Amino acid sequence: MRVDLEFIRQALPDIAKYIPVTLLLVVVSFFLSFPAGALFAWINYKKIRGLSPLVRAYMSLIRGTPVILQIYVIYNVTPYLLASLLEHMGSSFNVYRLNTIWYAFFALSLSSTVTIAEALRAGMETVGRGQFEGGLSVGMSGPQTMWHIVFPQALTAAMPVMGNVVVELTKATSLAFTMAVTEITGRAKILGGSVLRYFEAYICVFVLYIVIIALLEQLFKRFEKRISVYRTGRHSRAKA
Amino acid sequence: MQKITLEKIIYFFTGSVPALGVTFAYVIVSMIFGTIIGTGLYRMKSSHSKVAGFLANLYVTVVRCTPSLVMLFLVFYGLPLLVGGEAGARMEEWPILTFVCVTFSIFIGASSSEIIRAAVEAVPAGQAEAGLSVGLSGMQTFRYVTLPQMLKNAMPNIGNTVILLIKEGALAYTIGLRDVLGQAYYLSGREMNAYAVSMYIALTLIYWPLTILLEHLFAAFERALTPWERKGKRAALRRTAEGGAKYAG
Repeated sequence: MRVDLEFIRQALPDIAKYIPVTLLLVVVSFFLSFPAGALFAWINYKKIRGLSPLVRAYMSLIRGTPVILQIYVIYNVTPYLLASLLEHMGSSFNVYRLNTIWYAFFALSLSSTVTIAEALRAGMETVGRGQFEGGLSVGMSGPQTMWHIVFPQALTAAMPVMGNVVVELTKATSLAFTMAVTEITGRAKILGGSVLRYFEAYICVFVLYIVIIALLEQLFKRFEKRISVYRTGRHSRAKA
Repeated sequence: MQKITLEKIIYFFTGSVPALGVTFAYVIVSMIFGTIIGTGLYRMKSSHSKVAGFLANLYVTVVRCTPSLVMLFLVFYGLPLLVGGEAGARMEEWPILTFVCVTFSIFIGASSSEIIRAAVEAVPAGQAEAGLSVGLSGMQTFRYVTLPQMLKNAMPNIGNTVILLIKEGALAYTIGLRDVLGQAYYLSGREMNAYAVSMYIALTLIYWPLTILLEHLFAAFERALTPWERKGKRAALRRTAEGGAKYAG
């Protein structure tokens, strides 16, 4: 057997049609995991009694198990739980008609939540104690200080990690086909399987992933530059 | 809802644990070959040749942008095809483990080049100069002064890489490898997946403690490599009297 270039030429545009599904998975999973990560970071930063050990146990569990196992658990166990819950509540909604992409969003955001939480907590710790006291001294409430003073600075410190999270998330979307979501890897598997040209099909996705991730990284760098105005000491350093 | 029985959890647990041997096999092989590739890439990056530096950076970027699953398929289906002919056909009969090792060596090559660079840069040149100035030979300086500090700096990264490798390697079941996850799926498949939930619990009970254990193990390595940084009374004592004698002789 030889590498079939003609097949690659034909398959590439077909697979590229599924790029929006991949991007949708990345974007929705990221925006699901960001608030959860921020909440977990805040719980761990404040060391809230009762909640903090729970959050840490969750983080350790997610970090300690393969993503593929998490995906299978979410995909195979949550429908049962949801169905019995809805039945209990007397709803007639059929869970099994729900698009499987919802499970994919949820499953993919599990591990990025952990990374975001860890990055934001570390970011919060780099913000000096004086910043918090400064906020309180001008009459802001605790949550206000957290939101307007500490959080933006923590975010800028965590920004490089956020870029990594997006890259990791994009790579993880390749697992979504195990949940019957057809994105680029899933499409390549179908196309390659139909004529037993797996290698050629995967060369196409390989190229597409490199392009997608390179573009996302550029986008993120630009965003990082814009958000860096909140970095501590930026203005004083500029003057000096 | 499926029934979860302790009996089944124990069945899947004891059935899958022996497959840890396969997991450790590819982890160890990929770490060794990956470090070799990574050292080469580091030499290329730090060389004066612009072409070599560009090629090394290109390698790292491309590998970093590729999902493990895609790389796994590329190697599994592509390697026999690219070699071609008689040799390629014979390759298809190679054990799946070989393809998994090749895939993860490629990955570890990229990440270890960065780890090595960070580790080398973290040891100031003055350390090696100090070693030479007290009369150690070049090799001795490397063995007793530079290497322990480099390893100490790299240890958290090495630990993370090993843990990541164990978890990512679970994907190799998609090409038919029977590592821990693959073995559990095989056992579960034989029973028409009737006890899938018990299998998930058993797998969690294998992977989770293993990760925590490895985290502690690598932290212990890190401490063992740099006894002079240890805190506490006993460590301070060891550093002065007995430790001094031990490290001099």
